[in-house]
Amino acid sequence: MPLYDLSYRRYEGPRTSRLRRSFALAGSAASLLLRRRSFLLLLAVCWIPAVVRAAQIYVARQFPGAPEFFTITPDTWRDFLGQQVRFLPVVLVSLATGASAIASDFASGAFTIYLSKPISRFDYLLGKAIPVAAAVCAVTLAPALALLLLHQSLAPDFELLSKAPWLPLAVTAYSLFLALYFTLSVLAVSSLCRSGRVAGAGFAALVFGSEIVARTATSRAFGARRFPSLNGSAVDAGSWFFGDSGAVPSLVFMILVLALSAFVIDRRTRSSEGAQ
Amino acid sequence: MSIVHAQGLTVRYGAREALSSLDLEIESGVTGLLGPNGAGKSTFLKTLLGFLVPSRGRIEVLGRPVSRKATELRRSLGYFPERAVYLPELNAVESVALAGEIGGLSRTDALARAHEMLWFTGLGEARYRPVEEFSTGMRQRTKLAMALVHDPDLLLLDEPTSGLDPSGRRQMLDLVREIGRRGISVLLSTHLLHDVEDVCERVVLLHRGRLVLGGRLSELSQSSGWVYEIRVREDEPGGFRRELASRGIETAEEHDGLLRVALQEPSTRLLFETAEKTSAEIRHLRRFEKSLEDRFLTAIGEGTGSPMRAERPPSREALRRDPAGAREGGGGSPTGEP
Repeated sequence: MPLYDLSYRRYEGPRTSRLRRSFALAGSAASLLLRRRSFLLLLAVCWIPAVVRAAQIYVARQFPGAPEFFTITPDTWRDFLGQQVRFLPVVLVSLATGASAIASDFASGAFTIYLSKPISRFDYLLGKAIPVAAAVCAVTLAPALALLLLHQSLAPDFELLSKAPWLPLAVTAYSLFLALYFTLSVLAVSSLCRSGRVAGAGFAALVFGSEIVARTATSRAFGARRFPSLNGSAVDAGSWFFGDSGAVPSLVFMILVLALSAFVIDRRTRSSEGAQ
Repeated sequence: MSIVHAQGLTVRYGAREALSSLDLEIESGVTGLLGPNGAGKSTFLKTLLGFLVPSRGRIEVLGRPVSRKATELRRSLGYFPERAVYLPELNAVESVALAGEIGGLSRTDALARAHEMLWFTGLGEARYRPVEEFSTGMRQRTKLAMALVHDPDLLLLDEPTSGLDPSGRRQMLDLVREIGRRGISVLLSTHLLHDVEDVCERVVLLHRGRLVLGGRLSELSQSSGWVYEIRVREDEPGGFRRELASRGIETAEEHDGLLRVALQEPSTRLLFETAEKTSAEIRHLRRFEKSLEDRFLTAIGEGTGSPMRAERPPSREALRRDPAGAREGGGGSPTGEP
């Protein structure tokens, strides 16, 4: 703009699609996350299990006489993804990216600014969900596929993939389901709060609280069957994606949590739209 | 051209009606949306944006019906909310650019326009500072830049001068005036009459969710009938007034001997004749202009409704004791003027 002209000028350029507007929101949130060193450090720590698995694959392929512990099967990927959930990388990444996503918008009034623009509540939620889902995929799907590539590069005979051609699909489907599950649950908690810290504490309490309740119930009342919890069910459901139908109850529990989360988010954003 | 058309518009919050069967037509230009607190101004703006769904009636903005899915309509609307808002962790230029991108501009255009808007609103030098560190006035300007960045056709301003010092208020109103000159229609919601008088061409007055007054500001400020204020010095006090009464002319005594006289015609000849007859000396004579505040108070039922019995101005004695308080009605003004 010319330095001498500081007056208001009308805009006559092109307009973008609604999807691009959602991506603008997601891009802004992602760039803020990537500016934080603590978040980058967290991502690096969450990749440590993948590095260990890479070492396992390397040993198994380079040393045929290695102990059975190093054997690589499709279950290696199921176990890896399950560990990412059980040992908290997925929970921590969800917390770091999603806890304040909606809560801080409510607190700062940014929600009003966004919704006064030509985007719908769905577009807004999509913009908020993409960075969280992407972060979860960064510690599940990305390392799992990287391990698969590593394995194939060390074993060009395609032995594993010829025995289990569905493996890449199972890894992708399970990872995406985990991303959807954790994204919606953390956003639901975030939409109930007006502070990212409170939302983070709330989500952590839900994860650990449901685990404690599940373990207590399993040991005392439901001894034969594992009682569902937010985190435990996500681990168990992995078996279904890798061909074990016994994990259906966990899958059903996760679908119920997804439905409840979607309901909470819808109610909260709908009521806040007029109230802000 | 009509920019807003509402017919039988009713909006409820639970059992309470915030807008009741509102019939309203707003022309393009800068229009003031006046009303005391709780009149339904913010509710009306949120209904225009599609945030609130009317329980009855219909509303059109820029010729298009407003519904819950008013997403594309919002491309033509800019909204300046009343409460302090900012986009967390972003500096001013990032905030405005993001608002522009969400408003439908490409990334490059949004960034260029963000710089333009921040210069326009007077934040050019502070555009790389985080908005969280801004003063109230700077945040208001950032909000204005965010509302304007996608170049709306209709700008909805909800109390834009709220919390600003006199200089900030003046600058904000200058910006609103400038925006109006650039062909953007503005709906300025406020309870500050002076803001409306300063920048608006038209005014709409809401009270308890109903339209009580509307029209061009120039027409509303005109006197109804031929009412004059006159002060005379006379040897026999009251003679002048008695003579007018004998001629069938209604008078009302104001403060410090000031009379308000309602005449049947625009000529003041009768007043001079009466003064000559009663040997009174006319010291002051001017046509009484009913102010917007008088109209406002009358319309919401707190004024007298008659130009002959307008709100009593403060006496000289009161002005001497407390000039500021007396001039502004001692803080008791229902218009909320600071």
